[in-house]
Amino acid sequence: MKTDFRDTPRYKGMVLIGLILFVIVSLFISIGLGAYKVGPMDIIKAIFVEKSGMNHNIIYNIRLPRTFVAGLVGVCLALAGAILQGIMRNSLASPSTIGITSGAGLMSVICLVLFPQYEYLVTPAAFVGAVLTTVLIFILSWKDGINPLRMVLAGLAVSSLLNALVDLILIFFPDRVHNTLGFSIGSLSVKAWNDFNRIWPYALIGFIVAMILSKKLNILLLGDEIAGSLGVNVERLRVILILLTSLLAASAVSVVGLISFVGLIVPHISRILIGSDYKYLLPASALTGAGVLMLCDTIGRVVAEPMEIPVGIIMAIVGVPFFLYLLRGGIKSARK
Amino acid sequence: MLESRKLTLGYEQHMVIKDLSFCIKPHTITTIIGPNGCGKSTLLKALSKNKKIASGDIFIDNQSIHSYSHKTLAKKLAILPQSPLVPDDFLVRDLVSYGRNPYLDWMGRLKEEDYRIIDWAINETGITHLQNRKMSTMSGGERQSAWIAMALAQQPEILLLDEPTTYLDIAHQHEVLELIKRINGEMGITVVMVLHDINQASRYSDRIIAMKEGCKVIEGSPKEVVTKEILKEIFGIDANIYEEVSYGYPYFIVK
Repeated sequence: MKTDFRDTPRYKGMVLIGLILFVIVSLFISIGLGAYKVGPMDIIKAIFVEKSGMNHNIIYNIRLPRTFVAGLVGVCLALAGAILQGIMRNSLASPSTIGITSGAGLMSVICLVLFPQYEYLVTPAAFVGAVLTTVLIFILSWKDGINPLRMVLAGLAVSSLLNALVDLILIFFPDRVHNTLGFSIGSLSVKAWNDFNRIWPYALIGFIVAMILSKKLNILLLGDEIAGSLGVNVERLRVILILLTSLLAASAVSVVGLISFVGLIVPHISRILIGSDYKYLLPASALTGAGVLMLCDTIGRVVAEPMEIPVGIIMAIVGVPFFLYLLRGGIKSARK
Repeated sequence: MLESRKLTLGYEQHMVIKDLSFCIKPHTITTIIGPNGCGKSTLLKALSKNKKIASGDIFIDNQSIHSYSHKTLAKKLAILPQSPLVPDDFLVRDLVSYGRNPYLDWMGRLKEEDYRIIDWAINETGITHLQNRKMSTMSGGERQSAWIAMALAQQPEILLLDEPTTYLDIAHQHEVLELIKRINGEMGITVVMVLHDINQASRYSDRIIAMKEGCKVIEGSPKEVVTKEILKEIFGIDANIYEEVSYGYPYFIVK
């Protein structure tokens, strides 16, 4: 049997270029569509040439930051999901299924209620919540390795409880959190440049660290024993990766609230496109996550104009059927 | 030299390995035999620092394995568990390249020398024509060769194998054992393996360690270990012992 072209670095490079084009197209669609429609050329003019006017205002001050935030949230959650699936060696792991987003959400809400004047504290607080939740899930589902069933059940229980606590706080302090409903289902409405500034450093650092560790993640997929035998300090690596996923998930949650399914589904799509080698899977997940979230947010803005459907709801509507399809063995047939 | 001194370890209540001492000489093949659950796999976990030791210690070149960093230990000792996991679409060559991990810097970049050693390991195990295939498309014997190639790329002094012939038919079992023998003979790598087939252990080993319930029952040459009395004591079976005509090693058939 000859080498399958789909296994060559050349093919994988082509997939990555394709995904970059997908992100660029999604970017223009997301900026261009809405209650006020703008063509691609006008978008470029509004950003780079015009310094004022309605086009410039709508594009530069409203659509552009919102689209960028959407893309980066997609990047963060997709990377977090891909990494979690690696360290737990389980394809059902993701920031939302195991409750990390809920833990981050709870701490963000607590922080907003207690210290409403310090917005910059929200992401660190969310990070603490995410780490604590991950550790809790590990303790609950660890028995000589992660037990997948326990992990899913523990995640379900923990995230239900944490979500209930989030809702409880939102009911008691509705005025402290802007757009409370949006927070608990994940919304990108009224995201501006300051939100963009709160997320891009984390996305960038997360991506770089993840890429440096991509080879180690591959080795971790071979099991703890082999990884240990190959000179990997498995426990330390796992702690570093947990901190990394927590940081990525926390930065996304603290900006847009509790979005589900991105971190679960995007790594699956990427794996179908490019395989499970993390060297390619991580950039592919980041790009796919960015594009998918920008498109889903656009759908939410356009489909029921002038009403706006929060992106979290669109993700769930698109995500659940896809997830069920994956569960039914779609992964295998799609690879062959 | 690999040495275990009064090693005891296990789970909270139940100690799986009790007071186990042995000393494995360089460049030999040692096989550990014993019934299911006698602690063989736990022992291999402890040897790779994957299991906490309750008391006693394991030494390589008279130094506790716990004083070595993970990477330094990996340059001395390679371990292949019984049925290692691998994602279906990992390529053989990529898998072998992970054997270089202990020699890489934090960026994990392979250098020219690493590529040379990867080629050498692939060539030695006879899988050159398979190197660009996915692991899922390989037969059991070919997969085992790929795993051994990965361990060779690690350039260890000692290679530990947990039941390397499981799930293989008799021809492939023989192939894998011959490969192990060659690795030992030509490269001088010390081999410690767990085998279920005692006749194979007798055929391929310099020394055999027989274990029962976490303790060492006897250690010696195949002739000293494969006897009526020992087989009765460890496995509770009655067997007749014969001597193989051309090589002179003992083998048995259950009565």
